[in-house]
Amino acid sequence: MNRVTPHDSATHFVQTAVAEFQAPLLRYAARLVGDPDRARDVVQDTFVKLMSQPPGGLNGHLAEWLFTVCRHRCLDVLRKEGRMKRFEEGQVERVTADEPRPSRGMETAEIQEAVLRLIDQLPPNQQEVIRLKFQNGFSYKEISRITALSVSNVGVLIHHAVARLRTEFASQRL
Amino acid sequence: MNLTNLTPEDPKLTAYALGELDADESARVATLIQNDPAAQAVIQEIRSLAGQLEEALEHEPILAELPREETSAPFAPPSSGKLHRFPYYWVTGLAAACFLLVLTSRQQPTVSDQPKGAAEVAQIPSVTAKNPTTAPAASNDPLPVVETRKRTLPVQSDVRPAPLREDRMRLGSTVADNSDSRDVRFSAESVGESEDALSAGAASAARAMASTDGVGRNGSSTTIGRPHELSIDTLGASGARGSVALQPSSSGLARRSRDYSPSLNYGNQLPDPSSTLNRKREAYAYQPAQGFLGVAGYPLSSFSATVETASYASVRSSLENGQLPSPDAVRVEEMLNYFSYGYNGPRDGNALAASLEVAAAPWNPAHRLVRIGLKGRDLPAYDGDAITVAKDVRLEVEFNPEQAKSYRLIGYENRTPIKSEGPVKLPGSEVDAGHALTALYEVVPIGAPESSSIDGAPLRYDAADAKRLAMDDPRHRELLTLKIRYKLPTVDVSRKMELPLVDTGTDFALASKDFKFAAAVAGFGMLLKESPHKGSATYDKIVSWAEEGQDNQDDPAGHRHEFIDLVKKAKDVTKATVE
Repeated sequence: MNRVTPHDSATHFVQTAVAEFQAPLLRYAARLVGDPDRARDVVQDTFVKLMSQPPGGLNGHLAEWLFTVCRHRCLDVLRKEGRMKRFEEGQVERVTADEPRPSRGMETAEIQEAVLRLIDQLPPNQQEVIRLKFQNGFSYKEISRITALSVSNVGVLIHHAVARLRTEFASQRL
Repeated sequence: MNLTNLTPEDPKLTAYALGELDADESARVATLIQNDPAAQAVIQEIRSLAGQLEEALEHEPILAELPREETSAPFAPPSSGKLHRFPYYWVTGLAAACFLLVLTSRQQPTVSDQPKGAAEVAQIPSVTAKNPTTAPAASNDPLPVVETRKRTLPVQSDVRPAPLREDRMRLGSTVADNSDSRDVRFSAESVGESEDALSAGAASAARAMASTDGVGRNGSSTTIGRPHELSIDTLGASGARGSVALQPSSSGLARRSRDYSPSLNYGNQLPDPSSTLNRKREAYAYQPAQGFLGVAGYPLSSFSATVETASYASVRSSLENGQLPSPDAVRVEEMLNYFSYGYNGPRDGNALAASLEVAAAPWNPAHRLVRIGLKGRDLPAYDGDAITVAKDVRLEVEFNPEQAKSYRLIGYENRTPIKSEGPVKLPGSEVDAGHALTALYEVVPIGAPESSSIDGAPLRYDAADAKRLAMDDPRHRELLTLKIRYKLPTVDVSRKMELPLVDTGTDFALASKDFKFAAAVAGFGMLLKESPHKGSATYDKIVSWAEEGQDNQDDPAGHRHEFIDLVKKAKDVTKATVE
């Protein structure tokens, strides 16, 4: 008689993690490594590593653990492919294109698009912490652990990013 | 630290605005700025900006257009001024690789539409000749009978991860890879369109399979559910680079997607990266109780039901030795199978018959208990060998978010997963002639009272947000649909049966004897495991439920009577241990 496959708690734990975090991790990784195929590989590797973890061991820290492992994998990939330049601090700032100023009374969707464009114009290291904070809900402390930056360093990055975004918002009358 | 001067340039102000300072520092900053309207205005701006950022980022697609190569030229933003949205459905395709892709095909409306008395017991004939997805004239062929040499009940339990057949995984991943970002790209007018495009993609896939759909489900199965099945096969496969799971495939995608498009019966939402952010927000998302899964997020529950019964014997022998069994040795799913129930066998020479019953869970009457029964057809035994009548049997339950809030499969816990180096061909169960299996779900219905002690915080994404079924749509009232996949022993084509269930609100007192007895067995298991879900169960109550469930007709061997004695024994042993 064939052995059958139960709905067991350890497998279920990974199932749940995949369901919940696969898309956010893909989104995060794709930005770091720059393309979706490598991002998929990285995210797969991350979940494979999760399978080796005892299910209860990460209680309350699962998201942080996943993002940290994912980030390490991304760095490995970039390092291996000689693309670390994109990732280091003091990165070349992207040139702000001459965008037509949006007029008042924009639809929500247009505002959101404009916001995303503004975020895209930040230096990559500021973008990363902005997304970790406002897209994935991590605290400064968690971001510090994920990125291996100090908490005050994280605070400075977010502060600068927020200050700049505030200025852009005001000037674009968003 | 002395904060005498807090300028707007101080990162502490931003940290304060975002709630990142600890209580002491936060209080200090609050004092400092209480007479500083300019600083307070900045705080407000920062917080308002934070809200905008969260909203905008929530809807950010997986990857906006980014340069692939690292160039020395400064990055040029998209020229058109519109964000080129990444086609959303490649993500879902990837998620689909984690799915059990079920071809749903409704049978003709059957007995299940008419409630039978107090207990909602429904039985469908299994595959009929009308079902175009299966072998034609199936019911008219004499069922092939396969003799297999059976050992006695094996004791060891080698378990495997949740079912996901290798070939399905492969197909799922080709769906993903076909939506390659390089080839398929469109610009969305607004954020909302990315989801419409996804629906459109899913809808066309669903329409493509509509021709094979049975009665009643055409045109509505346009959504793709969330993965509940483990994608371990995908993960395992990816351990080896160049594995099938992640290689783009050039051939046959369109054809394959017609065969295996996923579809759901109840209008569930698409998976969406923002859902994680939503979950992380405090006091927002619905948090079902520990061990329960929320239907909104996990509408599908699938498992290969065990036919094992060994745990009951093990529990019995511990208790007969005057000891409580170790909680790990208590497997409710196996204990349930030990007993025989009055399930009707399949009619018309079909291989399997399924039945569903729902009533109040006696240990928590605000919750519903669903009993699933599966029985194989009877065949005369040859030389005492058992005969398999169905193989690769897998069960899947789809819950209707308009009726069910959360659920848990009772049992099937605490098994060690098997780590695989590569793709694993996962078996389903085998059902032998005349054999039956039983599985139980505890379901929290929509509208369960808040005082229900097991339940969690109020629902944020309630049925009002989900795509609603029309009120006159019969599916609106369904609690769930049971889907069974199986194969005849000598055949590799799988068949399926679907059985919907409408909950008419039966009290436990009016449930069938089989139901009451099964509930008693589950309750006993929960007490022995000291389960947090045991609710108001006590040994005495379990005895009374089991006594209500006694049925000499269905229990010629006296197993139910023996069970009642065992419960009493457990109570005595527990008392003795405590004293």
